[in-house]
Amino acid sequence: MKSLSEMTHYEVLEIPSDAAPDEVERAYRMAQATWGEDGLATYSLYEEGETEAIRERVELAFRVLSDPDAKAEYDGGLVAEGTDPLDDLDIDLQFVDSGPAPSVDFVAAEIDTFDDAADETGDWNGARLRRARLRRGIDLEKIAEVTKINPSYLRFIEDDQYADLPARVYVRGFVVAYARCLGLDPERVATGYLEILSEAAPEAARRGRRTQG
Amino acid sequence: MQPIEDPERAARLARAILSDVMTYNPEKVRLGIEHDDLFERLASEIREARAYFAERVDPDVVAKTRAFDRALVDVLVYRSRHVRSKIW
Repeated sequence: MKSLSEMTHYEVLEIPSDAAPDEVERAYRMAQATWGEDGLATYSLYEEGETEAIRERVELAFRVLSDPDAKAEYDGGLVAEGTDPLDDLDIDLQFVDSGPAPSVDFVAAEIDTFDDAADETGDWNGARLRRARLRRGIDLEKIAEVTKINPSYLRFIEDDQYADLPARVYVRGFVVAYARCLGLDPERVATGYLEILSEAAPEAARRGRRTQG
Repeated sequence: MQPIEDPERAARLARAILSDVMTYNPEKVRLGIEHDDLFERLASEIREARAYFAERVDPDVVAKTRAFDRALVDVLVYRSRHVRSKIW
């Protein structure tokens, strides 16, 4: 069974990808009734945190699929990648505006031939991320627009302002999304960044681990 | 590192660098526009930004395109046009 983060918006609402608008609406109402605060699922085996995450995912799915433009862009992303571009972001949705998935076109268009490993070595700290971004000529607002991550958090990441960052699990999601936009290896970059975070700000790292359970 | 020789890429780099100056110094930019002393107020940031740009772009392209100077106006000034100022 797929985890919540692996599911497409269609799978979240349990509808086919060619569902008509009224089917989307109906499925959304049904999901709300199931997962809402007074819904049946509240009394089930799910923890409060889990139902909250599902509710947020349902909201996101509905907002995207009920907006023709956002839906078209989202569908384009599914076709282009063969999967949902949001799948691996691992971001708690409370930090992310709902909206269309990152545009695959944008990501592909901005990637050029720079080889970060070849022209620069060292840790993936905020300064290196920023340099990688600038070399591609991408401004921070564009990253924020594409990833839907609050620009303040992106600035804190680039400035290594660990004390102002949210829990570790969210930071990981942010760095993964950021790295993807630049065409970097998201896993390697996120792991590198979190290693530095753990060393430089053990308190922040502990805070994150507690949040992860 | 191979310097940038494509004018379009150089222009894009200049805009990204100056967009960062704006993102990281919003209050200074606002005051600079408001009091019409933007370039004096942000002198050190602009100097640093220009040096960063020059490090990465072919000197001929820097001289011929004036991409950095164009971006100064396009990004720092034009994007601040909502700020009340005697400039406008």
